[in-house]
Amino acid sequence: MQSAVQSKRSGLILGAVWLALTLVVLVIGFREAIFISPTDAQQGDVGRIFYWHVPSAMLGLVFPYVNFIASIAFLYYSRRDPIAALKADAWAISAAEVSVVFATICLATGMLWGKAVWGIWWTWDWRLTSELLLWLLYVAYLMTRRLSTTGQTSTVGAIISVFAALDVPLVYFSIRWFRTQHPSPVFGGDADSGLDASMYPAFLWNVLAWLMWGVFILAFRIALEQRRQRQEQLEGLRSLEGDMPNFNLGGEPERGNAF
Amino acid sequence: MHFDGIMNTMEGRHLVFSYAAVALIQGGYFVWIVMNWLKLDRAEDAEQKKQRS
Repeated sequence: MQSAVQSKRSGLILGAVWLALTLVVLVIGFREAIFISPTDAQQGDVGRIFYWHVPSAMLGLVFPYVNFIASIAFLYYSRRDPIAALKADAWAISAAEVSVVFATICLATGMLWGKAVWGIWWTWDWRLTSELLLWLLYVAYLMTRRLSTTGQTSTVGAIISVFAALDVPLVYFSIRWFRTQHPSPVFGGDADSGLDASMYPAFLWNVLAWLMWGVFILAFRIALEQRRQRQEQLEGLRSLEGDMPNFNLGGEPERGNAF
Repeated sequence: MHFDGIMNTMEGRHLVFSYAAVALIQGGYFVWIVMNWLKLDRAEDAEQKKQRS
């Protein structure tokens, strides 16, 4: 009990320090993006959306794989090690939520940029459509987790997440395989691709900042989910205790206990 | 970057809306996690009081 309290306290201190560092890096990234980085010659100031849109898009393709690996681990452990399966399940649902958050930002900031630069909010371009599909798949995953009452919800969710992960390479390669409305790849594209050297500090600071934020928010959400699981198990045991008068939870066996 | 009249052009407005949307979505998710964390704290406190009595 004492070690659990100490572990919770050290986790909170580590989280607070990480959050403080993340906020410092976020402020540096914001300052670089808004005040230091030069104005885009073609797009003007609206081009500064890039500095928050691209890191969110990148992380929106990384966290689905955390969900995917955790879901595979859940399916593997579900019949072998229930404790490990619960842990994997906490990782899976947390990573799915964080994926939806980053994908939502990617879509919202992309639409705001598109209206200002293209003159349209949306087009059924390969990149935009596959990203929307990814968002819908993870929203469907979370809705299933929230609303299903079958008792096999985590298993159904894990299977959905395997299919959702298949969309991630499609999103990534869509602008390499098909040339439509979305700008061509900034990194690893054709000979003209790449960033101007003056844009790198703002871009890299913001990638670091949002990566740190993503790690923080994922760890915090996993810790919350694991606490919620423990609470749920305790409530289950309490109701069992209520149903069976001779069942004594965590205490000394009662005298004359039939068990 | 100049902030004078930033809300007078679509480019300026959409830049402000983008950064505000990011702060709102990430901040909102963080607040939701904190609220649920505190809710669990209260439930655990109530459980401990119940056990003591």
